[in-house]
Amino acid sequence: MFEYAFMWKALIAGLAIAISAALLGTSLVLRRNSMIGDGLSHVSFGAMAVAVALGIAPLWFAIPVSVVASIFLLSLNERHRVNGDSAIAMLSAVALAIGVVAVSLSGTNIDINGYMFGSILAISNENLILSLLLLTIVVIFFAKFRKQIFVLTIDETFARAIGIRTKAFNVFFAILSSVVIVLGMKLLGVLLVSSLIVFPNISAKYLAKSFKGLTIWSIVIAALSFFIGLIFSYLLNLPTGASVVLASALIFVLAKFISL
Amino acid sequence: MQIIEAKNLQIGYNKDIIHSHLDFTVSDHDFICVVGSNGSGKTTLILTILGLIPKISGELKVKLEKTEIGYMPQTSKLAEDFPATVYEIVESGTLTNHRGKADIEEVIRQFNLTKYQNTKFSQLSGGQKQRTLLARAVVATSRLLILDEPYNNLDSTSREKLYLDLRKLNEKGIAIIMITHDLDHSSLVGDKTLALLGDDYFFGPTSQYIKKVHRENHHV
Repeated sequence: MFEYAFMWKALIAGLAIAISAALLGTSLVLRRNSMIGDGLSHVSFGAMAVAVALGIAPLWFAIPVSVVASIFLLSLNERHRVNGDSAIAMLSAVALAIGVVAVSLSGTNIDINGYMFGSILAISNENLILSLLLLTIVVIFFAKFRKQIFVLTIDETFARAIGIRTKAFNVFFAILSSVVIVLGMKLLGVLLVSSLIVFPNISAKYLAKSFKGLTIWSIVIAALSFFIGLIFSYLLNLPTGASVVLASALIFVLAKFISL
Repeated sequence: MQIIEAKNLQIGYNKDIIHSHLDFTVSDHDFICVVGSNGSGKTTLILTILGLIPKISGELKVKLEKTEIGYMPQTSKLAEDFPATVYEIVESGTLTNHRGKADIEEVIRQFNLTKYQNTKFSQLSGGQKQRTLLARAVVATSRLLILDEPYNNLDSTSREKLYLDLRKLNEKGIAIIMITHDLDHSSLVGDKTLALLGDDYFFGPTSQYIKKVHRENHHV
């Protein structure tokens, strides 16, 4: 199956996105901000659909729109934890509606099924290069600031008390997460891309004793889930997102079983 | 030497005033307990001192760098199920003051946690968790230690042990501000007491505060 160029592109871009998402997820999931990924995926779908309708390059429109949305969602979460959830739910619905309206009005021929659940054929060269660039930035960010990220994640008040610039970190997290979502969306689909942020970390939590262990396990699980999902997506002609999510769910059950 | 000076300080969240007109000072070597009922503003006060929430009005001079202050939040505020070892948590106290491995291990030893340094935090007992967070605060400080209800979830033996640890640190020259849960006298272990009493407050030697409480109880 790897005699096809599209498979290599999907594999490399997908692994880069899955690993980036898993790394960012360590902090988002454990701070109970998992839903931000979900909200962002809807926003980036809306943005992409509007871009296609207007004839603008979709990625270059969707990335800035999602970045702004992510900073907005994060600030909501900081201020009122409870209302954050409903705000995300509303924003998701409105963004999705805008996207669907844009698609309907413009009469463009968009493969909605592909957008919703992901397609193995969707990775362009541009997308591939951006995914590798993203992975490089995320890995450098983590390698350099893993201790700051750790303390920010387990205890933000303490982090601020000892003088860590938590706001700057949060904004950077929001920006990187929105880029992960936009880039992963075509491959995994609007409805399933946020699972890349959530699943590897929840599964890794069962296996890890330390933050270092959590990071390593998340990367391994993310890569494995994506690889298995991609292979089945090709073999059984399934939407890639659906098949990756099922692989992730299977690994989650396995991790939980091992931890018992 | 004075390290904190508050004059006519007004504290609160957003614009809701919780306490007005507070005057107090903290000097090197002070051991101060902050008491008051729930909602009296104890945590708000220390978050204001730490610079994490803005004061509403008045004067508050904190003559220390953030890297000279150690802070121990309530245990319950921590993301408990997070996979993190004791060592990782204590190490995170050194992020801005750049103390090394030797200092981290020394503090871990001082709080009898060497055996547990690779243990997952969520698997520790209440007292061990408390000691881990205290160790993190201690390794983060060189001048002032601020503790939010460190006595919570501790039995009397662990309390006694924690108190002795704090006294030792205080004797080494670290000032301590410690919130305790209630007006129970046994928790008034500091030399000075800052009591937040609704619209009123008391700041002075603990012995004087205890006398005042007795007197008032007598009148009632």
